[in-house]
Amino acid sequence: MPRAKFQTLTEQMFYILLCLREECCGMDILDMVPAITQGRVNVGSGTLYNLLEQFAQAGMIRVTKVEGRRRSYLLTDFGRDTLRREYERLCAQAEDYRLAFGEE
Amino acid sequence: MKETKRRMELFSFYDRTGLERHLARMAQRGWLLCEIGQLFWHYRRIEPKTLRFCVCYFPKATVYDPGPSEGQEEFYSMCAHAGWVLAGASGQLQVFCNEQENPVPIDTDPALEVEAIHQSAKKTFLLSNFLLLGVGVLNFCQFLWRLADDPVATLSSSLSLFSLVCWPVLILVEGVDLITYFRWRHGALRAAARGEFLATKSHPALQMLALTVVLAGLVWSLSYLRGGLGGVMAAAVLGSVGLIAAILGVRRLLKGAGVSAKASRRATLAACVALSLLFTALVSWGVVRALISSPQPGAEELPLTAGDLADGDFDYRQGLNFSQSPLLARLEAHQYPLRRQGMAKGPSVRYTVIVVKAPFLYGLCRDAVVRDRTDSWNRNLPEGEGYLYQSADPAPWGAAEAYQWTSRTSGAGNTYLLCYPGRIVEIEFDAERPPTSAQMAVVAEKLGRGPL
Repeated sequence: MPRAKFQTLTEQMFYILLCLREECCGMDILDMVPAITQGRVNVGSGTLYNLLEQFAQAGMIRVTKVEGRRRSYLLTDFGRDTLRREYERLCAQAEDYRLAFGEE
Repeated sequence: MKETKRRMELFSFYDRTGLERHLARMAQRGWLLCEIGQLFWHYRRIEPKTLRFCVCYFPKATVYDPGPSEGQEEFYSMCAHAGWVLAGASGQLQVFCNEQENPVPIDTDPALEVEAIHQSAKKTFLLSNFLLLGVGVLNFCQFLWRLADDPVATLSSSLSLFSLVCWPVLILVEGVDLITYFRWRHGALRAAARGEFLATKSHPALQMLALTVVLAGLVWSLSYLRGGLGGVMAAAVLGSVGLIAAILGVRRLLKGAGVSAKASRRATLAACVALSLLFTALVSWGVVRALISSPQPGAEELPLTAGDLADGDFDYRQGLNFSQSPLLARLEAHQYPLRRQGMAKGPSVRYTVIVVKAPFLYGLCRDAVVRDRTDSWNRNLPEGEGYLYQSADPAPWGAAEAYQWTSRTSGAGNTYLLCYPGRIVEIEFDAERPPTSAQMAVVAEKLGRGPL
């Protein structure tokens, strides 16, 4: 059940999907994730390859272009919804934290 | 100076930690992995340096693939982008190296890594290890069954005794490997839930020890075989190495010819079945030929002949069967007279001598000889009419104990079981010619003490 599998996203999944709001290939993602997170998050090439394959199987991304060894991907509507749900979940968590500890 | 090197690496399939550490050490010594062969790993000489290695698993790949798939190519290019260069690959196993000091690892999600290892292991390592474990257990059970059924024949055959070494070692190695893997997987899944990787562990030293023990046991057991059979068995061992090489050669050939993985798998399997059948047929033919073509033993090869027991000029046909191991030696011999017109029939003799080299086996062997004869003679007889070994006077035989084969209905016969120190002799005379005191003394001298 892919939906159950990606009900919540790991940090790496979240940033990979975030990168795919625009068409890009695996190698672009390898560079973009550390750039977006100021080096806080890195995605390994094996992990990225596996996740891209699983995202594509779950219908969260689609292949847009194949140029030799390079494959480009883009987020689908379902992938965008998943990403939004994860964002809302993280926001809700942050809000809960604020309510518990107040603004610091 | 050698520029290349081949090594047999005995790490378990899933032991990425052990392999990475080993390959990094090899690079520091100036050897870089350049190819993972069918039996050996190939290294080439480099300037000694510190390299980082990463062993990962690509579950969709197989050893039959003519080359990397599109997906693998994409994966390789992503790895190359992060500085990871493919050093060698075999089936699902992919080995990369990196010159950077702190590269981003290829696997950064422990749950995905555990899953990739397990998916790959299910297709190769687990399947083959469970099969080998099953083969080991079945063969060891068969050995135990043979041991219970005929301990003398089993323990006096060096090849049978080799089973006592070979199968338990196989069971131990495969069992330890499987237990270690499943324990690692259990721990790795729990660690992955915390976002952590768990180092793998295998036992290359145990594998090497097992291989050495099995090879030494094989050579040692072959050294106990006499005559043409020893040569045939040695040829069979070498032939089985050739068989494996031929099957791997077929697979390599098909791979090189660009045959699809599916067709290559089928063709290799077909070649495996055909070559194995051919090999089995050749070995069976060799064994039969060695047995048939071995010349009839001369009377001088028998420790005791009918001529030693009676005067007269008779023609005989004789048979001799000898087997030995470090525990027991067993000699079976017979001499039957050939009938000639107008001539009296000479006496016949048939005997088995068991030399017990391991004293703790003496009682077991004596009981087995008694049980074997009692079972075969009494099988179809009603209770109360059977045969049994009855105690007899050992003094004329010069033995410690003597037993005479006796019918419950028709009295004593001419078969004796004689127990000498370290030897058990069972001897059968003609029914109409009971042994004389002089003949008993000859038996004591020739079989009870003399060389076999």
